[in-house]
Amino acid sequence: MKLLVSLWGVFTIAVLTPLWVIAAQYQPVTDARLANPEPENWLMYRGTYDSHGYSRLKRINTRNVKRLKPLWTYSTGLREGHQAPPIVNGGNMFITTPHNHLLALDAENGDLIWRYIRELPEDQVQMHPTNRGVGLYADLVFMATADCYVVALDARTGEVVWETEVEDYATGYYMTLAPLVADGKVMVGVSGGEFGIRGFVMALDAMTGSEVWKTYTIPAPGEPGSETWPGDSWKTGGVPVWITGSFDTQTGLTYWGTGNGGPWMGDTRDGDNLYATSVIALDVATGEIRGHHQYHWNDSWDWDEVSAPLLIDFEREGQTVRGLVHPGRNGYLWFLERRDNGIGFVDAQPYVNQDVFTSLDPDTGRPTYDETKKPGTGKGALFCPSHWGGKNWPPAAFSPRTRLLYIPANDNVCAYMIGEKVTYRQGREFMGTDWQESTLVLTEKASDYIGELQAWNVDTGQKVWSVTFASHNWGPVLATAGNLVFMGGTNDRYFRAFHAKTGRLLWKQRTNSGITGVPTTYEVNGKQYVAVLSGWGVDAQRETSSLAEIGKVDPVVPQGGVLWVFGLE
Amino acid sequence: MNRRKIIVAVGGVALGMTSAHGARPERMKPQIGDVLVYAFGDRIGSVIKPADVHDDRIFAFAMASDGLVRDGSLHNQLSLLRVDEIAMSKKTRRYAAGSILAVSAACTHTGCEVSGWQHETHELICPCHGSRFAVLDAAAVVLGPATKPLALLPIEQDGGVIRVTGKFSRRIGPAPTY
Repeated sequence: MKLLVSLWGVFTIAVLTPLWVIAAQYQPVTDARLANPEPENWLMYRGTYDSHGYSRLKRINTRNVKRLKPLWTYSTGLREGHQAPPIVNGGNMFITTPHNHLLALDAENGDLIWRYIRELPEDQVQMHPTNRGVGLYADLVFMATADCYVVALDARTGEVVWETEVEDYATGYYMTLAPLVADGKVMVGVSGGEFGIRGFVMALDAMTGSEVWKTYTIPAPGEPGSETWPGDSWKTGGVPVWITGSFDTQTGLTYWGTGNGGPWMGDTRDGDNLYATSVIALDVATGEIRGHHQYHWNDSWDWDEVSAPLLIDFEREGQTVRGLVHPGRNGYLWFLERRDNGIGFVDAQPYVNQDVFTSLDPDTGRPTYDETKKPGTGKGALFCPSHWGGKNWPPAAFSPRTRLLYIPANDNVCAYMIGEKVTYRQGREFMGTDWQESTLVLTEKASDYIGELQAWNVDTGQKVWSVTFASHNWGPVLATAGNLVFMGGTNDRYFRAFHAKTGRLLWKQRTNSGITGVPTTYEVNGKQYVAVLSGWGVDAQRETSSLAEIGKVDPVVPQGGVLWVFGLE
Repeated sequence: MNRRKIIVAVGGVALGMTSAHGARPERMKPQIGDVLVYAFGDRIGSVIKPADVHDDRIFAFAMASDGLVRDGSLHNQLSLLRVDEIAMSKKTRRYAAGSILAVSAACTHTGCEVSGWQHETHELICPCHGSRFAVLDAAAVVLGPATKPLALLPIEQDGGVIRVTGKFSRRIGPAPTY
């Protein structure tokens, strides 16, 4: 055993596997490999730049999945939300945890290779204690941290190679997303929309950590879109970016989802508030905003639209559309077009009960609102879906084999919300919502189901099948060429596999906690594995508490993170 | 590119950055003898007199004798409250200056600012996740997800000021995780 104490006052523990063995085995990650990953590896947040969350592996399939067994597990020793995908490169697995631990494991047998523990400042506010995984490049592993640094470690040893401060955590910024690595850059977005930040995406040189570009999600006065923010509201208007973007290798454009404006009540910032609740296209070379589509304007519902759209080419009226597909937190399923001069609207429709939009402009997709459904400062309103949305951050998946998009949805939960006056104070809560008076409200159908896994044909725009759950659903989705769809997300702690064509439940395994981790699959020495972190927390736990407050009794979901790895015996 | 050079080049920078997390004077916790001042608003930085504390909560920081305000961390921020002295538990009264209490504003759940105050129930409320704390009972948890009480800071009324007389009753904010 070897204990390494780094210069930075953080700890990297290397154990069991001799480092020279790892060094010989580790295959550096190149731009070419990221653009076209081998099916046996899972090199980034959603597996591929198009964010499909799809694997070409099919040794585990509809015929044999019933024989799937847990092969090994690994306890992280931490509570709260374990949401990271197990990232795998040539038999080396990397997972992250709440409070910024990064573990390197042997993907075949679960041996710990090294563990990095970030020493976080004690007064850093962990409003969302989670981390959503690593990025890889060359022989480096990157993690975005809660104290708002990007840290690069040697994949072989866990030694810190560089670290760069992205922002001062004391001003309300923090990070939870997996970095997007492309074109020799490490790109990250910032959290902190609850604390009056001004959101941005930053690109760092992957090898040195030096800043390459920084693009704010709120324009400064004089910049295009600045007219959509009154007064100084742009300085503290939120619009965070807390989920990894997609990347189109052909055009060099990255696509990022953006959060809502702050404070939450739209009447505090009259105007459309560009580029809040939007998808923005950023040039990977320069960071220039090359296009945008705002899903809804002047948000007043906390409907972050941070999930990056899936890059899917779909059919419409006999033509192939180079598309972007986004199941929105606002309850609409959006089909957009990647155009040379920006992002175009194709069509959209609700996929859950949504009672706020009264119509969409057929050319632009701009919604009109039922104003009685829009809360404001001192003005209460009941609206559906709730502020947690039709789909929150857990990513949807797409299978090119079935042409189906798999959406982890929630329905029949609405919210009554009312705003209160709030004054900006640096680094302090800046939501302006009266939580004493605001509450969840269930529809009659909530007794039938809340959580849902929906499958939509992207070419016909039709829902093909749906599986419902009594519990709310916070499960990220994995689709495979074995015609399987994997998802956890419910408070009964199950991890499930469904038939990708029909939604039929084929397999399930009860785990230690609820699953909000992003599942992945990989292959080592010809054997396929499925891996997922089980560890309930963050907003899944918050919604459990909120539902309990209004009388929907849910079982207590135990906390504590465990990595589960499954395979065929 | 030479990896060793990179490590050396950024190592010094990283050491400097780490120190930013350390004990800069404005991030030091309140010290014995400090007086309490307004943390925010029109009177920011001015000394709080005992007579200023009424039913509404006042956010306060400690100010050292040289005028330095320890406002560099949420962990130094206090909720200054006037409550019914008779109704205080025995433990609570040990930290009070008459009917005035100074309670840490950092939630013991995930470290958010505990910004809600209901004078009628004498409860402090965290807006992030809804935890409630009973001020009269040494800021014990009334409703989770927090499981630990807020810290109390011992104070006294000293002429026209409110002065710190000791250390916080417990650790500030959430416990370390590992």
